[in-house]
Amino acid sequence: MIFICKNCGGSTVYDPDVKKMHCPYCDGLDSEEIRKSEQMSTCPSCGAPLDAGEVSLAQKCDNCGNYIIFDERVEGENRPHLILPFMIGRDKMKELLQQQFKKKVFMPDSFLSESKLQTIEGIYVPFWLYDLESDMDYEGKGTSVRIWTTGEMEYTETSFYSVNRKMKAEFTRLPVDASLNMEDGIMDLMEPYDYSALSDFKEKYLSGFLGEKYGLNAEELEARASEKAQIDTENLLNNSIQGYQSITPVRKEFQTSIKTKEYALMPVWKYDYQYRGKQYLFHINGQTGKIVGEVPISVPKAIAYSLTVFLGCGALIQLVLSFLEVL
Amino acid sequence: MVKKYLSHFKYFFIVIGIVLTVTIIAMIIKSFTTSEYPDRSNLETDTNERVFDYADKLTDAQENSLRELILQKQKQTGCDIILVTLEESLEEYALSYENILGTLSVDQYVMVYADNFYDEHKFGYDQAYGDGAIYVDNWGRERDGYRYTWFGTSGRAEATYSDGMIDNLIERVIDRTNEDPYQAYVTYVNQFSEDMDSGFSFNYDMPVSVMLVLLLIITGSYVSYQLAGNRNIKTTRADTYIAAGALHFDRKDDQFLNKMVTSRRIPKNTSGSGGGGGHHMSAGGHSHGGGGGRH
Repeated sequence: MIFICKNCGGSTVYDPDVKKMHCPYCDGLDSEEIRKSEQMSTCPSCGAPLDAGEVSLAQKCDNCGNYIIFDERVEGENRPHLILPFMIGRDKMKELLQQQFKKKVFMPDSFLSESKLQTIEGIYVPFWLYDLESDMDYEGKGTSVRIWTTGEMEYTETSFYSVNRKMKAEFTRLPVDASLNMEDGIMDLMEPYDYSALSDFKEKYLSGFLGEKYGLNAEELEARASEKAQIDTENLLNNSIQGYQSITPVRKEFQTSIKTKEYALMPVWKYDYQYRGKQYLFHINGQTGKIVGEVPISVPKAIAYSLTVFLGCGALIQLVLSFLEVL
Repeated sequence: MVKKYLSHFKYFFIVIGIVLTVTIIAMIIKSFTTSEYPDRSNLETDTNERVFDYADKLTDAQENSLRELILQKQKQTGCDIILVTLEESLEEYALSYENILGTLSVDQYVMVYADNFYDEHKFGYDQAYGDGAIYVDNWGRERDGYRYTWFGTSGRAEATYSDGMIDNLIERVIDRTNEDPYQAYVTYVNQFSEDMDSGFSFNYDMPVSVMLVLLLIITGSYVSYQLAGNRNIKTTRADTYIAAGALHFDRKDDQFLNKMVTSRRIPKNTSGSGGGGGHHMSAGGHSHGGGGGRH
């Protein structure tokens, strides 16, 4: 399907700045109407061929530039339960990148050039959100040391304790990335999202962005959800054990039970920057603006700037010494 | 790119420019305002000689050149500047003063000679035993095989010179002594004049290695700053996805099992602290400062 403007026939897109559907051709707001499409192989607007691949949910037509949503991938069991609409628009996202990196002089100039920033795409990434309970039964041996002196003698008292914890944590909407194209580690770093902005899935939020359906189903990712829950539970357990110089685990039993799972789409801006044959991927959380990525370095610039600091400081120190000598 | 470069280093270049300008202005002002002290007021000194080359390390021309330099620097500093070269062991001479000065170490023999020399001739620009300095370079070897030197100060020079300044002067002179004694003694006179002029000493010749390390640290910090700020940090906490009240402890207890006490005797601290150098009294009862070296 595509969203067409009732006023001018142009393709309308979701605008995060005004939180409405917007026609970039006639500036109409919420003027959209749906044009359904039976097939995924051609653009419903211009008829150009499309490659939906295995998991593409929404795509931009290379020929006419309109955003197409693949109907059958948002229907039935493929239909997402929830969606977190983009809250940071393209202009705001570019501003965030500029703010964070404009003072980083080692970066290639083209990194923040308008032509490169224009290539950044907003993508809805599939996640499974799990409600689950974790149970931890723990026994450890804690050691506490106290040292004091009397006269010429130093005394060391080592006390041993049996540390017991039995805890239950109820996780709500623990997110696990279900995308085949996004790295799990990077998607973990995109967290957290503010779930108060989650809404029921509506196709219109996809218009203007790319999208991907889940590549791994909820059952396949249960192990990863349990693993994430275990890490958090163990951290909470460790936080509850205080005042010991050392702690040795004696017994640790952990189990999870998954209560519910929801399929949700989360907003991510993706910047694929190529420099000297190497790919640098930047991801920006489409809701919070958190940026994750490796900074590309221009070696000639790094050498020129560092050399200036080296020689400039050398000259400055020498001048100060000369000044002191004159005094 | 050039515009961005200049913009980035704008304030850095401005600071360098300001320091450069101030230094040049200070140098110009300094060249016009070299002060001279009033004429020498000590009439008790028994000689007008300032260069006593008993070791014959200088040519007549070099001695005359040194005398001229000393005359000029004495007016600038308001201090008598004495140079003595010797080539003999001072052990017997110095040990004869042990009943007054107490036990003397081998490096102090030349100090005793320098103090006595200064006092016996009643040197001092303002008065006898007053403002001035003496450098005694003994080319003769003592029993331990070393040749010792002493730089002694008196009056205003004694008050001005810190241990660091003394070490700096001696180091600079000794560095040149074996290679070119004349240049070494010129260094002594000039360095003394500079030190007295500035009122404090600064190690202007920062060693290349120190400078290099300093610059590497500064540059390294700059590079680190430029590379920082893009750390990919996890921003969730352990309880991010746990609602308030959704974490329960069915059991949370720490039971004491047993304890063990060990003891040890604290070793006594037997290391001592180092003593200080600095001022001392000469055999004639006058205060002197200074320090020595060997070559």
